[in-house]
Amino acid sequence: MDHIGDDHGGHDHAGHGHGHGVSDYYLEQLLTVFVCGAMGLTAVLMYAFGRLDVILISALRPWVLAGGVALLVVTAIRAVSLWRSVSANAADTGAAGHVHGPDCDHDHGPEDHAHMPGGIYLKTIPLMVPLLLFVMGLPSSAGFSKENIDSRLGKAVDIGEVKDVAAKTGDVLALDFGELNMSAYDPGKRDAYEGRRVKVEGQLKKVSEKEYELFTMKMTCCAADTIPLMARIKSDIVVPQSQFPDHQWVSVEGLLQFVEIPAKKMYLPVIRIGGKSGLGLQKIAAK
Amino acid sequence: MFRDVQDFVLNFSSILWEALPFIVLGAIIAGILEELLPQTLITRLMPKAALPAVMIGGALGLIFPMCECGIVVVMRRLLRKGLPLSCCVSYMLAGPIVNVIVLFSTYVALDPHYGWPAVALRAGMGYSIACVTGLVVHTLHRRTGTAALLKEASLPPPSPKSISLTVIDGPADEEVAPKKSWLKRLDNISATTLHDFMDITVFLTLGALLAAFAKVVVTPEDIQTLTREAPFLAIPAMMVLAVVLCLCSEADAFVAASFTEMSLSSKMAFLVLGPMLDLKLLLMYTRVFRWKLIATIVTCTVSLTLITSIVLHQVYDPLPFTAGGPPPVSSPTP
Repeated sequence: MDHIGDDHGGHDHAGHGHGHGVSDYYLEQLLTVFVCGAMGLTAVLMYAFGRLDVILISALRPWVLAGGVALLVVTAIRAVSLWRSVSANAADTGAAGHVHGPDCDHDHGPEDHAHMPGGIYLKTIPLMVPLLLFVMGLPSSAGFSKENIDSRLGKAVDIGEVKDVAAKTGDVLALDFGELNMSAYDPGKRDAYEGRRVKVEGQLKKVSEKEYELFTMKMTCCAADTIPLMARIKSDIVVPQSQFPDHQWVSVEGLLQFVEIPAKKMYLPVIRIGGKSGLGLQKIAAK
Repeated sequence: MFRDVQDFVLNFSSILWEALPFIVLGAIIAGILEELLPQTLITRLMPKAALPAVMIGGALGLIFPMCECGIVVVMRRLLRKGLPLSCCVSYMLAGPIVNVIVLFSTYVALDPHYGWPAVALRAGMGYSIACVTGLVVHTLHRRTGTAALLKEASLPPPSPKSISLTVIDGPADEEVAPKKSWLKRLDNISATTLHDFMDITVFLTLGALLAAFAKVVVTPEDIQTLTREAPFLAIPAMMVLAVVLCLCSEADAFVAASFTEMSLSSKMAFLVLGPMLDLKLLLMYTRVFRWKLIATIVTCTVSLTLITSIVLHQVYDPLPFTAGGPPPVSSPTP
């Protein structure tokens, strides 16, 4: 039987002669296998149950799945090895009260293996948090609270009266919010899009009876990096808030123009709606 | 109260689960390095002089791109394999910035108005700060010795053979080492992988909890409001935000770009310090370094980022406000 501890470089017996029960060692190893296996399984289940949808962009979710599967595979290898080691050790010593020595010949964990009693148990506690949250059904699919989003949006900047621009001919442009936001920073796109009828989807937040913020919360990688992208809706007629409450998802169709906001060092896309062509707002399902 | 808990859980979960696959990857690489990399190979390959070793360490991210979470796990095993401490520190600090994926995402986020100059500035500042910190650590290392700076788990195993091996050409340690079966190696790799995964994930979890709590208290909008009222605080405030938010270095440029009122220098302070130092990294560092070394790294990275950002602000700010406006924030390319 090999002396695993000396081989894998994680721990060197040569320099010190410590003693602790082999049962403690196996208990630590079993706990490690259990916690790592549980983390791997939770990662897989987070993916399978769609719990990652609200916290990660779609491109990163398969990575979590792959990480979970890899962790499960490594854990399985380790579990089999431990089981073989226990069998061999039992046959070798026939006793549970074995004490390590430089000439002992059984599996041994890596370095830093809890020379302080209870270290492994303390480590286990924080790792139970994500597992516990999963069992509790968290994070929920609701995403950030409305209050959090409102605080991220901040107070709507006053854009004053918006001058009319000449309408351009052409089909209605369907823009995603990213493109709308991008165009505000690009002089060429501003020239090209200003005066065009556009269709954009986003969420509403009331500024006044005839003015609403149109926003979306953009996630680059994970929910922690979410930032608000904003535009403004100016209506010629009163928008009934009973039909269009705050945070309602809508499709907006109207005339696009850009208003310079010197205090913010930016141009804000403004969509003019109402008038002869109707309100230009349509409720849609949340995205 | 309930909504705060809801936001807290969302922030915590997103930070943790985003980092998890990279920790697993780092732990597997660490297991393979521990098992298969000959103990003296790195020592033989690396230059003996501190400056070139540190400079090579700072550029290793171009060859081995790792995010800041995974790099801590790998770096600990490289330390055990004899990579000089100063070189490890420069790799750990520069690696999450000076790598192709991060530099490309920086370009996409800050294009077209800052574009390549911003990429060059981020890479240059990150690399320089990492190298200078590496050299400071080298000096400290010579004065105090390894044991005063590294946790036991990061120390190279004592090997009397290595003394004699330095005068022997060729892979002597491989010749000395007994032959192991592949089953044996697989088991050793799995043992090290699980050990490292658990060891680092504990502190990742604690860091994510801390960051999620801090994010409920401090928001980017608070920072923007503060700097509007006191512009001289822009750079330190963005540095604080970088430490609090714990963002992945592949995503942080998009968040920086959303600060439309901020100068390039304050954005650079955010982009350079964040991958080197944040709440979760600080806790993860405690599994590798002793407090003396952590204090040195924190002091160097914070002070050097502050100084270089102020200098940058004085000599170069290409976009106070032009007709083009600040850069867009709409291209989600992780």
